[in-house]
Amino acid sequence: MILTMLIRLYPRRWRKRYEDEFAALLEEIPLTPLTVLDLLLSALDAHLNFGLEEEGIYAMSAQLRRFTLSSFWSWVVYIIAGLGFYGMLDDNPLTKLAHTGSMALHIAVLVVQAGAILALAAMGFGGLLIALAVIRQALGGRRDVLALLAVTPFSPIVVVAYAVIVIPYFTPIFVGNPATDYSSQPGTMAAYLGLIGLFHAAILGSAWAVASAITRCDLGETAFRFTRPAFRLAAPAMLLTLAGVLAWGIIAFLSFPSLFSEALGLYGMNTELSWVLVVIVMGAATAFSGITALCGSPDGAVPQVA
Amino acid sequence: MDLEVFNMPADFTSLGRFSAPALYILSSLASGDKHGYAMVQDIIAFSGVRLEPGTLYGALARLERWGWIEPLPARDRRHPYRLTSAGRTALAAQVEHLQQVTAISLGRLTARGEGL
Repeated sequence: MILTMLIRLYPRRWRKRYEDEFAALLEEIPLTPLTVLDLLLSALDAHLNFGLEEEGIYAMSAQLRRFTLSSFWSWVVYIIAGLGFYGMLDDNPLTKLAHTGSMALHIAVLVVQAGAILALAAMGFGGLLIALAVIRQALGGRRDVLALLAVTPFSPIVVVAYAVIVIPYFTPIFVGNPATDYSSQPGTMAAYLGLIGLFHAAILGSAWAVASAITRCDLGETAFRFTRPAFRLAAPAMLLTLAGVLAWGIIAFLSFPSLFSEALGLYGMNTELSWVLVVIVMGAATAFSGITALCGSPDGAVPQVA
Repeated sequence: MDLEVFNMPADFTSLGRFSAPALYILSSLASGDKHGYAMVQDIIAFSGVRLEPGTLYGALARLERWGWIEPLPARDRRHPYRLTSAGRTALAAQVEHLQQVTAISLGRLTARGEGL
């Protein structure tokens, strides 16, 4: 049962070729935690390197596309975690301390910013030719691609419209009455949660639309010319950001424990819990990006042996 | 398709983390055709290294794609694999390279009076 589930993690094309013999092997060896971890990593590797392989011909562009999309999704999740971190810093007394009283906190924030800028630059540079190729095809008559690309500018408009039209109806904080206890107003919490949900849906929806547009377009290897080296740099940049976030939390915990435990984090949580959540999500995104960079780069055609 | 355009791999180092498993697999197949489990057992016997199944098949798939090994008709559910002439050439080149490295390392250790 467990073996079947683990084998199902592999891409269909890989299973079509190796499933029987792989299952026969797994039935003969002990299933240790290390073996399970190896299978999970191997399944990810198979998705990155074999998922879109064509019969008899190694589809380099398909693999590049898979590598690109995996890196892109890692970056999107990293961005969500990063926005969470900045949301946590907003109106937080620890932010004021970073500017006035704690050089260590200030440096940690600078490291976070440096990592974020580097990651953005790497993704932007690596995706530049892809973006141009996709836009060219969208403007060249591909209405489906054009519609998908329209999701990205349309999403923030929906969020802003909700914030401007719906939120004031339920909560007075948006109409200039901060003294009011808005949390006790009927419907306020639901409206606020709706805004949070819509915000995240807008980010994920935009990312999905971009990824779908890339998948649908007929892109040659030229469009991916800068992708591999640039996207590989995004992983260490994300790691730099993560290191900054980790350092910020540890410094805040050790130096200002009372402030760190106050309920000034995300969505009414305390700063501690918010920080832990940000670290977990950002850590997962960074790890996936690193694995993609290490495992997902094209390496699979027939080499020339001397 | 011009492989040079995509900076295709040309030797073991291009296999990255699969280079060591690939060396064990090719060495195992050099003594005769084997299926996955037989390879795992043989590799443990001659090297003491136990290849996990995911790693084994990650390397097998690459070696098969490169034409360094080839599958034989299945027996029961198992596919034995055979070392191809290209695989034998690659293995010989890698072993020669390792011998050079080993000789240099040994010479340097001996020169510093830290011989084995």
